[in-house]
Amino acid sequence: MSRLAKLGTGVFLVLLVVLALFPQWLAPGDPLAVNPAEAFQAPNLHHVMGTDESGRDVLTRIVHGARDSLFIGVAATALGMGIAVLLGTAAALSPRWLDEAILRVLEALYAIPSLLMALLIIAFTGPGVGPAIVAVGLSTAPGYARLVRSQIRTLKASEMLEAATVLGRGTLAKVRNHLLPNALRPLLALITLGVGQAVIWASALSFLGLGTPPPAPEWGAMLAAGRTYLHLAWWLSFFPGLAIVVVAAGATMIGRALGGKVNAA
Amino acid sequence: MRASTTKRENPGAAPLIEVEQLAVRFGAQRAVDGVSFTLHAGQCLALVGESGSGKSVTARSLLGLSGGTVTADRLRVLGQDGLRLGENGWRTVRGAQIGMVLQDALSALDPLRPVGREISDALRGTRRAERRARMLQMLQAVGMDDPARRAAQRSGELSGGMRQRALIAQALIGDPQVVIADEATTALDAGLTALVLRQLRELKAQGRAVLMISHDLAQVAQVADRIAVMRGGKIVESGPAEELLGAPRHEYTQTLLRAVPSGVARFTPLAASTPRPAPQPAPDSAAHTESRPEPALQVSGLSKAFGGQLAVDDVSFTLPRGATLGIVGESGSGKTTTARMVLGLQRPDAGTVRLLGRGFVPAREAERRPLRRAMGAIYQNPLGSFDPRYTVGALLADALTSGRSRRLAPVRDQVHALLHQVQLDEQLANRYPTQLSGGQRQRLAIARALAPRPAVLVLDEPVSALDVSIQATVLDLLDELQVQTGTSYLFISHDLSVIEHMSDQVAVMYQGRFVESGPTAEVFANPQHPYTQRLLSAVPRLR
Repeated sequence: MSRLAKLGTGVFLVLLVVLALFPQWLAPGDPLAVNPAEAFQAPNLHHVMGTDESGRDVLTRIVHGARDSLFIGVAATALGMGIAVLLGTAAALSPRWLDEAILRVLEALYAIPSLLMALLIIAFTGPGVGPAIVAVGLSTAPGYARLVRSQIRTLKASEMLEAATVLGRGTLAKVRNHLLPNALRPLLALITLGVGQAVIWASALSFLGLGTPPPAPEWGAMLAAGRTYLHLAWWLSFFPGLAIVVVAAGATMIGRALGGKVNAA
Repeated sequence: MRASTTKRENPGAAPLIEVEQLAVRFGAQRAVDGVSFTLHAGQCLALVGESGSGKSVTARSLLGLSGGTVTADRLRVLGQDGLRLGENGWRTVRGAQIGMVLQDALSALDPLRPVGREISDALRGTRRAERRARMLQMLQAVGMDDPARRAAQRSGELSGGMRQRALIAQALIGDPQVVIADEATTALDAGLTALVLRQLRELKAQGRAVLMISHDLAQVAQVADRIAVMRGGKIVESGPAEELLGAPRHEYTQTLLRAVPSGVARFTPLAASTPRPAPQPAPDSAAHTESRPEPALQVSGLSKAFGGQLAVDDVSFTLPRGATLGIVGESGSGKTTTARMVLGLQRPDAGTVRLLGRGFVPAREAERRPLRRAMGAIYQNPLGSFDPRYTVGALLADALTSGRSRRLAPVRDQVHALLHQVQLDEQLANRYPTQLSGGQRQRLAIARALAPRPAVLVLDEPVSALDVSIQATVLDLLDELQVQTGTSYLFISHDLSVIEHMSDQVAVMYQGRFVESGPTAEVFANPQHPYTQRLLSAVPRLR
């Protein structure tokens, strides 16, 4: 990766964190403040990304929405990865019959498209931020679990682990000190890519009205709300959509940069 | 294709290769610096030196493959000016005029293509049927049994010896006048090495010129007419083989010669730089045995079969305290399986291992764990046994605290003491194992194994991946540590001269069995079993 791309990725990462943690720095306004007098303003100097049907500033809402969108993405990935580490490690270290059993379950789950599974889960729990996290997290877990399992199995057969056995290390010490850290490091790039994907899924759920409830500013929900006025006010859908694309692409860039680093090491 | 008869009529004529003041630079670094030599038909020149001495780069620049910036007063390759050859010109040289036997038979052959195809690649432009006929003929010539069947097999289906033969066939199929053998015997066991060396002598007899590259003087002595010793990109000494080996003038040549362990008595340092250990009584003397009656290791009746085939067949031995038992044999003889069973890493089908008088195998890992501290292991490739995320200091801290902590600060003094013990600099504590040289890594592995103060070290080919001069320093270190700590060694190697130098007792392993065992001097002076006799006669010897 070129120097410039690395620099860009770094700047992007900082910007994202600032957006998520301190939205008021970039957009001091209230994302929920209704002002019917200013409804449907096209992008102008005062409202850089225009205003929506209630006269709310789109830029302010996107900036404030970053927190929810990113939080759902990161939390869902963390949840999925957490489950995956438990299941994958358990499968890799278990006797063969248990390994096979866990594998079959994972394969069955893997066969269901992730988004469909997320919809199923929401159908049980009802919409909301929490359910969205659980839904996206659970639906990504089987894929990660299979990766974790294969990583740990490879490492289990390595000379490094043999050396640890000869030095008299117990199973717990081997898992904690050698297996997990070495198994997860190469997955770091993949996890970052997964965050981008999870943001898209979270937005998709909100777009369908199954994620963050209105009027909270969430990108997917904003996209859905703007859809009604697409012929009239393109900026209502364009800018939230752009935000989703940029975050997903950015996560991919970071993932690639990390991947390069892991491969080089 | 020129007729092969005409080109070898006149071996005394102009040299096939003339190199004067060859220099190869990689950026600002000079890998080869002012090297000159000539190579005549029917002659073998050996370039000898450690890794990084520039010998491989020198050889590769004869093929236009050095990868760096080449300058020379003269670089004539079979009558052509190598300095003016373009990529197309070099392509006519490679394979057809100069063949190269590559070092690593496993990675040099494409695992997905039949070896026959790999070999006949060099005959592009010839008709298919002729190509196949030549290929089969060549496989026959290098001693491959059933060439037609072998040619259809992929490299993974061939044994190490077959692969090495395939590589030689690959180098020779273009009927080159010059053959370069780049460490072609490194990592081969005694039998295979003898075979390759015989092949090289045959090439010479056929009137070809051989450029042999090696770090092993004992092997070079078998083939070379002239030897050039390289160090730091320069030739430090060169001359006729007998003269150079018999009366080396340069200090570095003397160091290299001394480093060859064959025929050197036990506990005699091989490297000049290693301080001589204080003379002590033989470590397995009666005093030890009396105070601690249990032998370090008692192994009886170990057997293991893989897929119905016996890999280890009823192996028994006793390793006294402070002594070294050497196990020698060819690859595939069951040495490593024996080591793994002794270490409790592989469950034997039958047999027991007692460590310091207590049952070690068979046992559950949980029962074994308290005894683990008493037995350490050293591998051929230490890098694979280190967690890549840990620094040298963290690795040793982990070993010193039985895995409780990897922080250097609380155990800094002990870590430094260990590093001193294996003659490594304290500064290395902050480095990662990947940043160390091969010899340094093996020292680190030894330091880590010694941290829990084991009674037994199992060393599986501990110096096989090292240059002879580095090997000498590691062997000296092991000797010294044994005298200091009284640790018993189970020393496994395919290298007879290393085993002879390191062992009090020796066991010869062949097809899973100990075919002969006894005091080292006796076995080496008067081998009883025909296999041992054959093995010993295959060893290249300097002294």
